[in-house]
Amino acid sequence: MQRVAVVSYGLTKFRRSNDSLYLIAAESMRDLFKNVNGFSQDYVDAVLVSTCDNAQYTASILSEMLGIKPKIAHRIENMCNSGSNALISAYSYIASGLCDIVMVVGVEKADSPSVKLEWDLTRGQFTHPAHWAAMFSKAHMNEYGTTEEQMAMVSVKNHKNAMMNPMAYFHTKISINDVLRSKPIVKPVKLYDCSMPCDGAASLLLVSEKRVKEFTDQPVWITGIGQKTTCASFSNVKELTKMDSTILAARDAYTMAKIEPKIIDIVEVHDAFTICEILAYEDLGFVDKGKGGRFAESIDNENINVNTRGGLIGTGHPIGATGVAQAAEVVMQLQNKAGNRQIKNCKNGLVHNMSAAATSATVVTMGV
Amino acid sequence: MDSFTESLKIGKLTTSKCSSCKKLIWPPSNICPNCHSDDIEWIIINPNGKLLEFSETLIDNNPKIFGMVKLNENICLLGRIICHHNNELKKGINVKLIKCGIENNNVYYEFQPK
Repeated sequence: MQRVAVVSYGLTKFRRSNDSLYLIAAESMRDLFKNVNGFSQDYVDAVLVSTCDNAQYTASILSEMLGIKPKIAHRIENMCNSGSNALISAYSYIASGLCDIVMVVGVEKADSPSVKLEWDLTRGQFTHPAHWAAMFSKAHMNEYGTTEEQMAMVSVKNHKNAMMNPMAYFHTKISINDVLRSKPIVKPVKLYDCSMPCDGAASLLLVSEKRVKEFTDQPVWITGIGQKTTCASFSNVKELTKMDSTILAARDAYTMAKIEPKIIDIVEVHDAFTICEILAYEDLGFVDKGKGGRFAESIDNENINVNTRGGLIGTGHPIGATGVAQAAEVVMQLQNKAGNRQIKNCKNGLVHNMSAAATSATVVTMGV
Repeated sequence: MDSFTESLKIGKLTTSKCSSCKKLIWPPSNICPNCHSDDIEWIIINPNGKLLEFSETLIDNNPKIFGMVKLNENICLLGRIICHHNNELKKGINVKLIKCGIENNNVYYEFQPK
């Protein structure tokens, strides 16, 4: 297998707009072309599109819009995890030798059909994702004493980080009290504990080791990959205080990369709700089980930087774009291009993404 | 799956059971996830179970208590908890399915403490 690097990224402002899915996706692809010196349409072997939209033939239409005639063009859908699955599909095409240069494009509109989980009849009428988040939150509070204040701290941090990200949907500084007093959605989950569906797109360019020097002298290598699907229905999630799919995906990614979680400098975790970030601290191995709430209190003094772009909570959650935008942030930080939110001496990064009450998860590690 | 929906419409909660390996299938399916047989039968689910976790939803501005229930046959689902005195509610109490059906294309399940 040949090594695979992420070379660059393209991003759009996360927003609510009347722009079409195609226009938003094309905007991020155009940005990617601008960001890579000497790159042109003729180089692209594959275009992979991540979206949960009902639109058809998206990868071929977007290829045509951008003047690309790839060998391979198709979409990938796996709910919130779609973008990370597309990234790994691109990796696989290159590692296997089928392609050398692959564009990954994640895109979504705010009214995506995947915003509700209506296919899951085990959830009864409680199809809004905040219901499963409330079950996880209450279980963690009961079992480990996690508090609403600790969950609020995740939201405060991610909104603060989003203030430094011009592409973020939210640019609002909030306090712990703002979170605690925000509108109750499903107790104890309040408005500011939730991420917001919005419009947005993100793109990545992945290149084989043998071609990488043509495009960058700052390749970001994909070092580890782990994925796990434990089930689809919420009723088959057997424990509400941990995310089994994340634990198993992280184990495989660390094994492949031959690294320990303690060497990770920067991590993008899937904070669809504040409890998810607390669970991710634990299930990715940054802290012992049950101590995620206290980790949220001390995170400014820890040797790890979590959700520097603002996470899903601060940046917005255009579902098919999220995993791609998470990876773009880690690449940006590892290439020392993150501007006023740049973390010093970043060498190792991690992306964590998941779907539908953590029934599936992806963990990708990257390094320079 | 039509059988599940048709039964639910008349207020009966059913699921499929594999006639070959005898495993109960949840969520219901016409194919057994264990042995892949399509030789299935439909059975009425035992309505008794335990409340694993619960909370209050305010999403549609009409507050409702709901919870995760584990029925005696190891089947879990989210349902509304009908309770006149909220202080009766505790994790682990016994509950019983009292109503289920389909409304506005959404399935629903309602439980009551026993």
